[in-house]
Amino acid sequence: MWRTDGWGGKGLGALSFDARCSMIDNLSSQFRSHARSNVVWIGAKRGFLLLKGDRRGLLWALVGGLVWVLSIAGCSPTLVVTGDLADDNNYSFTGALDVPLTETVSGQDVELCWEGMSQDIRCHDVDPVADIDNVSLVRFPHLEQEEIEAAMSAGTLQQADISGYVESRVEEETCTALSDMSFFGTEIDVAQEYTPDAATFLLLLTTGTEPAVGTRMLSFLEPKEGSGVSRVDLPSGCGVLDFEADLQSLSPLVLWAEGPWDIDWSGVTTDGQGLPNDFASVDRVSLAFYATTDLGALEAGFLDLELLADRAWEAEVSQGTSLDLADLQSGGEPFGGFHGEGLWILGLRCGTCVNPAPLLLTLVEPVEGSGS
Amino acid sequence: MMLWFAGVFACQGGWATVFDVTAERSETISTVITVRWKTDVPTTGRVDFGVGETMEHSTPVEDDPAREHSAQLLGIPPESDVAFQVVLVDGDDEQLGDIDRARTGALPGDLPRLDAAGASDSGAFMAVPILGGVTVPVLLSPEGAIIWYWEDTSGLDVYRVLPSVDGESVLYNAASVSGDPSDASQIVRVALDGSWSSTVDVPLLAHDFVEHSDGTLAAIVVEYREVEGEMVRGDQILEIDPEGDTRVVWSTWDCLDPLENPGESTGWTFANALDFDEEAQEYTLGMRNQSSIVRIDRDTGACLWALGGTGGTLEWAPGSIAFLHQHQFVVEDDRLLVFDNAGLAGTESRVVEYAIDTAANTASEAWSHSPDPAIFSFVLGDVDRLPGGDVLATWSVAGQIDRVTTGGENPWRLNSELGYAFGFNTVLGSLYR
Repeated sequence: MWRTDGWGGKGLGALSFDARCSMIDNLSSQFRSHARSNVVWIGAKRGFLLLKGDRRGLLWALVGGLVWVLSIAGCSPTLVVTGDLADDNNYSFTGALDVPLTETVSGQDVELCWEGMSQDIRCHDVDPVADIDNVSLVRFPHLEQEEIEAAMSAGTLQQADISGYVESRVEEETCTALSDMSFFGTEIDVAQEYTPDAATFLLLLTTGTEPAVGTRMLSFLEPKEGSGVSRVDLPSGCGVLDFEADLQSLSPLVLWAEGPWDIDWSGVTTDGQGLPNDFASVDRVSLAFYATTDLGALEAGFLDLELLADRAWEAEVSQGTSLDLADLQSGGEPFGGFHGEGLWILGLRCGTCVNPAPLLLTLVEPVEGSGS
Repeated sequence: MMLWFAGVFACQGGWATVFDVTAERSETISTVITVRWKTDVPTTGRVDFGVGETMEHSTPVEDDPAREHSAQLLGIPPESDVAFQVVLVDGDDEQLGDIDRARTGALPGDLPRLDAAGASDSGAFMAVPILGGVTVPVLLSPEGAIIWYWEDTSGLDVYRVLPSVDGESVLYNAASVSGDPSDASQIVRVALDGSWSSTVDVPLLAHDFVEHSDGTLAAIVVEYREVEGEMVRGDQILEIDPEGDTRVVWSTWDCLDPLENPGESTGWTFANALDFDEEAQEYTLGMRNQSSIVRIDRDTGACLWALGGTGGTLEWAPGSIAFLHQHQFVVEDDRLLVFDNAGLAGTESRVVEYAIDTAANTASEAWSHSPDPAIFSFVLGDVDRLPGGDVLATWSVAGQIDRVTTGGENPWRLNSELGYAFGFNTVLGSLYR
């Protein structure tokens, strides 16, 4: 009764009906909504499904199934695989920062060096000369180190949480100093402002010069009376960021293998961390194909998703909440369809956000054929 | 481009027939909608509009009768449904057209998120640059929503943005005060609907500029002179008239001497704020490295009075705290509102009001406010007077704008996400001139 052949044997597609069947369509939408959270297709090739969740959801799933059956009989339904993303399509991500702390002299200049830094906080290799463009010092007047780490992990820091930002643009050098730092022409007054008052100081090394974007390494600096440390050698960043990603609990997005591939994320309300998000900051859509890597390996290598991909396509988003995947490109070649056995992961990313974790990641389950 | 055909024969039976009413959303600024309409006889008119079903805003009534008309709907938040209505105006008589609808688009994804809290019933729009991952002059609604934007890609900073006096465009300065000033700095003019832009080259442009009612621009420009074998960085006020002719109105060297009034390492004077009193034909200029604000006669270049620093002509009244490294200010008759970056002890900024008595040559602190917890905006910062008397404090580096009552209450606040600061802020009673 539940047709799975022709759907690639995997996904749960959405159904839509013509105007003559508007009443049925209404019931069907209830079905779709509850089916997403209450029905998990497993072993579809073996032709069964598993129901889970609350009774009301189960009821709607069953009613919807009945409506679907009725619609087949009376309303000539057209199968439509939808690109409308919802919250349950999204992965979940938790990340924790353990930023190293260095005590230094107080009210005096400190030399900051990173020639020994070989990896960044994502455990990616770093060229200390080529990859570091900006060294900045941020002062938090009212937050403790643990609070800063938590807020950075959650992406909830506001500009008002800081009371000072100074930076030093670097080129070939691998050392700079507090006295080299300034912002809009105003230099740091080391003697007056780098002191062990209530403030917490965070040092950031970034690729690029946009404040707090492209962070490769973090370290707290603590000016302390009596300290003789006037030079800080920043270590490698691997281990600073601890994370856990869950790509297996989400509901996959079902799309036709041959298109169309219009996706719309206006219905998604929370990001991968479960935080409310209007997704207005999405500036890039990516699609990656993994021929042999399984989900477990992708979760373990979450920060290297793009590196692990056998092939990846992407497109910039200037505004709006929708995109045709046909606009994605890989090396100048447009995306041509979901071809090949493997895993497909669709991502919505924000290049200007402090937290590098994608706002949305979901698995795409292609359905053979075209919806055109 | 989104185009709505609102009404083909929208209004018949009055003194004129309105037809071919269309609404077109700007391709480059998705919050601006241009309404066009035709009339069978020459008329003047306006468009009433508002979000949802309200008609709370009106475009200005056209100056001259015509058969083809257009008006731009400004001040609408992104992704909002707008109702609008063409209104023909003949003296006190009005002829109302049909109510039609359009919709603004989404903001570009790289604009920062702004979070507002509290009630904003000031009715005042704001013009302020946002500095960070993107450099974008914006206009904000009284509630804090971005209702106009233009991303500047020059690689320079933007400190001031102003609607032009002719009501046709928005002006901003693309400049650099981080380190050396830029030879490539400009004042940029952008059409309200983003359909065109033009520039006026102003090398060594500094923080601030104003526009006179006749369209003359006046800007702070860095001026170097050699003193005892070393180049000293001062400032001047440069005027650029609508024909592009320039004139130096005043120089810091006219009233100050670097030997008698020494500055700091970032420059001798580091002028950072400029106002113009059209009626009095007097400029007021702030200089960060002199911790001084000076009043200047436009015609003679004479310094009429100065407050603060070693060149001050006014005395601080007992009990008053002098500002230090101040940025923006507002002159109101005998009152002076100042954004005081560092006058308080420690790392704490404030907004402060002084009573100025030029007869007695005194300045008395009359009111001040500093937020709790304290904010230290070590650069930039602005203060404005809102309609009704409240103060708008822009804690630039903190990415925070506060509405502050004279009682020190804070009924409204706007915060930017991490990585984005505000430039100087200008309060606007209306987006139309």
